Amino acid sequence: MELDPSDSNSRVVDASQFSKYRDAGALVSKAFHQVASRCVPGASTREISSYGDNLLHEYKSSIYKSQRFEKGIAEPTSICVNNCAYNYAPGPESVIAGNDNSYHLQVGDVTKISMGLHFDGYTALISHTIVVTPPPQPGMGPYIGPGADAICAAHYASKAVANLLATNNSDDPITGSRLRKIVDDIASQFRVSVCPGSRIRRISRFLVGQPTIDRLEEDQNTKHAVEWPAPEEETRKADVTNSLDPANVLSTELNTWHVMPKEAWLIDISMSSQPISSLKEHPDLKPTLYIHDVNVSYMLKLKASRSLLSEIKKEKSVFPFHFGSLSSERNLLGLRELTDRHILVPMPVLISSPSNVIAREELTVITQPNPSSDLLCLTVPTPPSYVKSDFSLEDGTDAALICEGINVNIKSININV
Amino acid sequence: MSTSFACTTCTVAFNNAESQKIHWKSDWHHYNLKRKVASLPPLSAEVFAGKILSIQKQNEEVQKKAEFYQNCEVCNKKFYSEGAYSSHMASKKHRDNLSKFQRNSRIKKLQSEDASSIASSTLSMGEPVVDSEIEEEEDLASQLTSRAISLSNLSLHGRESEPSKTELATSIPQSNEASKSHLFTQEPTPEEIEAELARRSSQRLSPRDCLFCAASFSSFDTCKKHMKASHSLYIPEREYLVDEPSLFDYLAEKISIGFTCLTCNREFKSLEAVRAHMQQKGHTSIAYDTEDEQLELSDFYDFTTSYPDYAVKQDETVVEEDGSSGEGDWEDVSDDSDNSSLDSLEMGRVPIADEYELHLPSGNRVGHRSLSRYFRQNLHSSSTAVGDGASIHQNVARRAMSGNARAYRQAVETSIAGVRDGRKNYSASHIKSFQDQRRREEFANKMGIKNNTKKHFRDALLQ
Repeated sequence: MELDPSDSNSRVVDASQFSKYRDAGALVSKAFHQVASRCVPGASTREISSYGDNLLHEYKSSIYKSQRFEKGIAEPTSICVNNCAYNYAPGPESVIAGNDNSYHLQVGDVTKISMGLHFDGYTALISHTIVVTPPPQPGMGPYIGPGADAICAAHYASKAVANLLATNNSDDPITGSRLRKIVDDIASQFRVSVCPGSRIRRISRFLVGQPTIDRLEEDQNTKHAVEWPAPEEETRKADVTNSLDPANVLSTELNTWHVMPKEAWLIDISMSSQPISSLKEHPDLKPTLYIHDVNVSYMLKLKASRSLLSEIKKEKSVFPFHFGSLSSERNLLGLRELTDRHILVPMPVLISSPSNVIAREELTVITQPNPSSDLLCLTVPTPPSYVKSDFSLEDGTDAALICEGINVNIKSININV
Repeated sequence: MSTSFACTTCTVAFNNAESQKIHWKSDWHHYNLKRKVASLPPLSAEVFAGKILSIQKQNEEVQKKAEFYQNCEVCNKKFYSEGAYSSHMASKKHRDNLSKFQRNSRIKKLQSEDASSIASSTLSMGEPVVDSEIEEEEDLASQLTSRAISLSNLSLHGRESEPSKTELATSIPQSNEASKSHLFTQEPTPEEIEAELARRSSQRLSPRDCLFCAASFSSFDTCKKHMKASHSLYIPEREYLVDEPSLFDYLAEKISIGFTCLTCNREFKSLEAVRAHMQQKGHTSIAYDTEDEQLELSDFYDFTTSYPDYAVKQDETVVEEDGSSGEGDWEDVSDDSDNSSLDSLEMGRVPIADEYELHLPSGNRVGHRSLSRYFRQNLHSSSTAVGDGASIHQNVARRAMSGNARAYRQAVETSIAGVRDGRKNYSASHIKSFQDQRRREEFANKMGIKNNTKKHFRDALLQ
């Protein structure tokens, strides 16, 4: 296998990269908490997401002013409610004749806020689920129901994975199958299922699983990731080994990689209250998030699309961006051609059936940055909303033990940088 | 003496009328009449008789002379005078021919014996040896052909007799000289050609001989210098010439065996003739203008150093040794692909659309003209994307796709990016149906009819 030595070095986080990771994590967490506080009944999702983007823009401008590397929004603020899974970030297009047609939050909405920031490609992504509640009143009970199950499952699953990564050592390496198994365990204990699009993956500079590059990384065989839904051959193989010898599954399952120290990992787990095989695009909402595929080149015909592309090349990097953040309205004429030619890849609003509720937790962690410390969580884990699930982790199971995390030392960064 | 019966013309008198009438009918009287008209005196009977006698004698002699006829079969000559005949028979030429003729007649006799024996034994139809004709024919060429025919007959029937074989063997060298003069008029047999070739190659020029004059030198180099200095011989594309001795060998062969001019490729009958031609016309250069002429000499040349990817290949091998900048090379190669229909990319493994492209040994790719609009577009290289992120993604993509996938992507990027299936189908049918050719022909047809300049060829079969 061909491996660029410089590239494989970049997988391991050194000191200067570490500070960038930490700054990105701190700032995005700070922004997140401010955005989360805005999620009150009646708030417009358009306003919240634009507020989040403005915050991110402001924060990223405030730091590394003298440096000339790329920095910016790694994921525009998206506010996905209930059965919406990903990428709902309404922009100016939702305002029609002065009316804000974007979704307005209501009490009891399971709201997933995700955002991300990067400095020089070192990226911190965060995603958290909150339940929209009226201002706390005495005697108000917790949020219950399928949504609560999903929220709890997502919370515990992300925590368990983080704990598992923290216990990583060379004697007992963390493998993909172990990560997959613990998430699946927790989902089954809460009677929910893991939503497609969930992933636990190693990230590196500029490579955080963007859809434009994700498949290529897979070809390259350097991608260390656990993804849901599981690739077909993996499940098939797991079935075979299960039928042969259930006890031996972990050791026999194909594990070409395991977690190493000083690696950045992205934990992005979504739990849906109902089992779903795939998400579908929203029929009416047009995608507002786009990502530039730098590996496609085409001679564009429209002047508008050419100038739009040159602006995107100048302003945006390889991360998703909100098309509302592009300066000139006129050039948006060229958007169609750019997407037709696959130069821009739209990130459609993905939804499941209306009765379904999806919860999502996303963390960025760095494994064992120092030999003494165990795990650094770049994004400040937000305490879950006041929810109560009918189910809980059964005592004695692996998942419960890991979630308790007795011997686990997780350090969180200071939000006030 | 009565004068009643007299002839005044001849001044003679007769006894009676009867004798007078006979006289008037006589030749003597007629002769004297003619003399009288010519106002000459009449001749007497005696003189006239003497004259007649002398004329008769002269006539006899002429007659005798005219009756002389001698035919010399050997030399195929006829003689009407004895002196000429006797002098011919005494001549050396006749004696030479005689000896030849005797030998040939012996051969003929043997052949006719053979032929008749074959004819009698096999009763084959259309026996090609027609004895009577051949015996009359003195032409050596026809003898030779008949011998060839009889030879083939012999081998066909497998009844070769020892004496005829030896006879043939001895007769061949002797016949060569005779056949020389007939080489260009008669159709030569394989044996003749071989013999001629052997004769010519025996006098072939050595590398130390000048091609254009009779001079000979001590070494090949001095010979070359001489040809360059005094005949101003110029060797085309000298820097790519790899096999100089073979080239001169070939040229010498061409001149001394083929008797062919180097410049105009005209054939002559002898080495002297072709040399004279070349010197007179100044044809002392090697023809190297047309493609055929270049191909003729292509064995002695090696043009690989002139190929565009030659230097690149060498660079690559150098680069691979240090191993780190191999990636960069790729970009450079694709960057300078401004003449996009002739890209010097890594060839041979581009899987796309073989039917639309030709892969030249030099590494160039030639696209079909039906896709020219795609080949001609000047694509900005994707490396124009700014920033580290873009370059990292491109690196990942480039490394991810190894071999065919990468080549495919390269091909897509540089040549037929954005060619849709419909267009490809159009191209396929374009190529399949010879559309270009047909379109040209139809246009020529249309213009011909419109301008009344269409060529009309009558069908030869209908005439």
